[in-house]
Amino acid sequence: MTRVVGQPVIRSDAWRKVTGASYYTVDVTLPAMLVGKLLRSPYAHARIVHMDISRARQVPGVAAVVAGNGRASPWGGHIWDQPVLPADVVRYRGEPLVAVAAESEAAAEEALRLVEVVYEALPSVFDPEQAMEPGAPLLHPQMMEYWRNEAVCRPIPGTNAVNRTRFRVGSVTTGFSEAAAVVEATFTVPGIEHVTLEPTAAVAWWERDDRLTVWTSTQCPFVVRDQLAHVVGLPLHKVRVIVPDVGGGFGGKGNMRIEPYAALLSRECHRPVKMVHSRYEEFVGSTIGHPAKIRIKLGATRDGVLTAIQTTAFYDTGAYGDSGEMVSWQGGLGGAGPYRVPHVAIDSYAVYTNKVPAGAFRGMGWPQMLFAIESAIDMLSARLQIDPVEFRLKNLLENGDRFVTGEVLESVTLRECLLKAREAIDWDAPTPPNRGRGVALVMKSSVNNSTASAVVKIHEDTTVQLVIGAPEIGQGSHSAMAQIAAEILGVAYDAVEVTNPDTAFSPYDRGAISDRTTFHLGQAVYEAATQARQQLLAAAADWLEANPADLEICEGYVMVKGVPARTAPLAAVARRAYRVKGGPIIGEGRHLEEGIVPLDPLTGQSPKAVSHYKYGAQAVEVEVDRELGMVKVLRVVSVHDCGRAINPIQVSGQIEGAVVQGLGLALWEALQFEDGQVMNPSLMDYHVPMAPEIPEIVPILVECPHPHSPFGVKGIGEPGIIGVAPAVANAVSRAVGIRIFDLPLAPERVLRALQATQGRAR
Amino acid sequence: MFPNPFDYYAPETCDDVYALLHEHGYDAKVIAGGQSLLPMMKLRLAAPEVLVDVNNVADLRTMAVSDTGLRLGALTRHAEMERAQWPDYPLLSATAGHIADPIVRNRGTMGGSLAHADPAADWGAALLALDARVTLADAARSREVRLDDFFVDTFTTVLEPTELLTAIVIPAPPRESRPFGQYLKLERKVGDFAVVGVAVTASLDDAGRVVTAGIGLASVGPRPLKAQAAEALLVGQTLSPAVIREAAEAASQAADPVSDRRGSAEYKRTMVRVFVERGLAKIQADWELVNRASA
Repeated sequence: MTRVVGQPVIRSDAWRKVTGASYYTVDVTLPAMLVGKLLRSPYAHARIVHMDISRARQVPGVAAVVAGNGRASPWGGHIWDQPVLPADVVRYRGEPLVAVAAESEAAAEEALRLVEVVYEALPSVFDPEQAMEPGAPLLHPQMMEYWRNEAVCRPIPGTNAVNRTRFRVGSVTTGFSEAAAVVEATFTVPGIEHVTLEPTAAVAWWERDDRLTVWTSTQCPFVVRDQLAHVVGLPLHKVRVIVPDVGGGFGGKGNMRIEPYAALLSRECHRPVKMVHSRYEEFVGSTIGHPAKIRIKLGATRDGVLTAIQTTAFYDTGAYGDSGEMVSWQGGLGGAGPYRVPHVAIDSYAVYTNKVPAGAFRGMGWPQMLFAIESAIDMLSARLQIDPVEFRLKNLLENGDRFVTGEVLESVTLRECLLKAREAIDWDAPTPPNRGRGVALVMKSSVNNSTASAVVKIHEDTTVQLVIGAPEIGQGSHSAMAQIAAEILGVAYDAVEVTNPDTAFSPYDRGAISDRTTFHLGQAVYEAATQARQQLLAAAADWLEANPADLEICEGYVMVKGVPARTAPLAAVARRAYRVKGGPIIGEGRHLEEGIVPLDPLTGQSPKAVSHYKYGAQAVEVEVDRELGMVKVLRVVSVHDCGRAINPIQVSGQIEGAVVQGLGLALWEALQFEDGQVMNPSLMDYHVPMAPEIPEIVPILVECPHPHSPFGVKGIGEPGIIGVAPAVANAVSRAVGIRIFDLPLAPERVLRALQATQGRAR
Repeated sequence: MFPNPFDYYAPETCDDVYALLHEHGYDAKVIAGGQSLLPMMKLRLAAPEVLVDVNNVADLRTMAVSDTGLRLGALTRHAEMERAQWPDYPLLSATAGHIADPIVRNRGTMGGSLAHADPAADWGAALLALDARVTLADAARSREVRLDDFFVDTFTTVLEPTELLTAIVIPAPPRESRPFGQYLKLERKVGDFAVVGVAVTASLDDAGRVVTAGIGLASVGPRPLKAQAAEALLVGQTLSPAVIREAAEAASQAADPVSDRRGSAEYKRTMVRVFVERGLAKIQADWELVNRASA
């Protein structure tokens, strides 16, 4: 039995958020602070022939102008392919070229207007498949010379493919020869924007003695610190990254963004420089979710047993890798879906094109991949005239099955999730005309090399400081971490204060990404709290003259088990520890998943590819207006195995939020490109889901404890977005008999498909 | 973003407005609700040197119903129409609720919307369907212009720079008939401009025959359109499925859409047909309901 863990406590930042007391990076104001602005490339691909910034420097109020990469090293996620400010070539429309810091926004903009640049346009390429053809313009001819992390970034020399991840199991030739039915289809997913409520923002202050302090809206303070130190050439102890409250990330704030520009400007003038993206800049100059083109060939026996799958995925990563290599790596893992398939061939590519870089986005390649897989599964089940749920139940992964990596899976709950989804959506009930229900399975891998650490300090009054390096980005992790600490320490939930990250004081953490905080950092917090508890009990043991092993903490007291008379108030124990014994009570915890083995480059085989996998199922009911082509989602049932809910309300909240984002991908969201230019870079023209459009969402939690995590938790931040789009597409297919291969399911696209099947309605 | 500098006047009488417009001509813009003009000024798509704010002119806030029709002052806010219950003009409240969002509706004015002449605006289509006229006045004269003659092109009307749109006049439905109205709008998202907007109104006699009919179209041409051929097809007919289909087809032929990010021309034309059909079918259903109730 747990006391705090599992309780629907109110999140610790609720009051701040609701009353407007939250303090974001845009709220940071320092004396003598300047405003920074960027000049962005109007060309998708061009050589910089000549640049003159002298007139910009003369604008009154301008304090610094920086251009060219002479004083900043190239950087990247798993490949260092990106100049901070390119000196020779620009590779996408919107790429920053010149940064200006000035007393006012008007002065900064005037200075940018006076920068003279002469470009020589270069041939460009915008489609990832075309970009892989021989003779396509190369964005990075020197790609093989860049530093890279070979475990997840394997470029194909002489091409635009920055990564290929391959999986080979059995022989697909054999597999397809055993199949009674085979479906083949190509699916496309558009690029989408994260649309965080708080845009990218940073304040940098480079003091005269070369100490750099940066306040920033990021998911990964230590990653930003490392990347900043690398590009400006400072040791880590001279770079301090502080993270105030963060208004959303969704993967868009996992790497350095606007921070280096603010830092380079501040280096010039030693005054603090604040930079905030406009919403327009968020669309054209941050990162986006990957557009993808995915080909699937899938075969099964007459009885509906899958025999083979061949998957080729092209993730369009834009001008720079950012996290694209990792997206194609993770998405590739999903290339056979959550199914038991004896013969598998998967090739997953990340390909450079002359577009805004695509990077991490909630789901990391899996939403695109499972849109294709789960659509193809329904196509094949229809071909075989087998109920889609039954077809999945026959083929889904179970405990002890081998994954495409060859690893044996544990704690798999796909069957349970799907059965719950089937029941909750009332799968077998008849539907009126033009209505239909659809399902899709959910699976997601978590990130590797995910170091986490935590410090628990118990103050003299037994209130607790939990010091961690993972930011609260809206997902509620601070509250979950406080619950874990409070549970172990035997104190009240609100006696634990979680500090926002500051790399000068917080212990190292990989960041708030990939569903990793509760799973990985949770283990570190668990260990740190356990250690602090032991110190507290040791202090009490001395006082109560008992063996620490015989002590327990209960409702504010330390007591000797079974001897109610021998107790000491917790606060008195803590005070005594400080005043009599003279030492602070500080526990430390750390976690790094062990035993991860890089994938075999040719076959993708590994005894342990990632720390853990997450499982779930989505079911939706839709109604299609045949005349307008409008798809209305009436209900979403979203079932996920979170292992153990530290806070059930927040788990449901994460699922609901992710499902809404999934509905956006299914029905509305798409960045429209013309010659590499984003044509709908505003919230007027880019349609994020709005409150009146959201149907009933029913989150259902399955709690199958993970064998190796604190209280059995599994990650839950991402899975909710995965599987929504294919469930909707499958439901539309069952409602009106059309198959949509391209997202989103926009009215005009649906209407065209309807007209194609029926001939014109009239 | 900030607008360019401008001079600001807030006169209290029409005569003072006329005098200012006479003095400043093309350099001046009249501002009422400011829901279109101010964003344009902030984006520097418009940079008037003089703003003449007419919100204090009481004469522009009048509303008068008579046997011959409804006369609405130019300052009539969208929200007032949303709340108004005039049984003889059901299309007005049916349309107003579709305009943008509540904030815009509280501030934006009918006269401002018409004078701005955005082809996507909802009032243009609705008031064309109602066969409305507008009163245009300057110091020397006042003239009444049919709305169909008022709209010239995108953001262009016959309004002279010295003139003020003072009122909208909507003719009363014919006696011995009952008016119905429907506004149908396809929008990409809540509060967005129309991808396609269709206003349909008809007055039906006791036998269900159409005495007058009006069909206005938004966002499918360089200006708001009146589907006159379709209207003519309806007059004297009962709204049978065949008649409805024919009129809807005619209305879709009257549309002159262009392909853009909101949809292809073909899709928009199809939507006009579907919406006119749905609007007329709803009118017929409403008439049947009323007729059954009174029988």
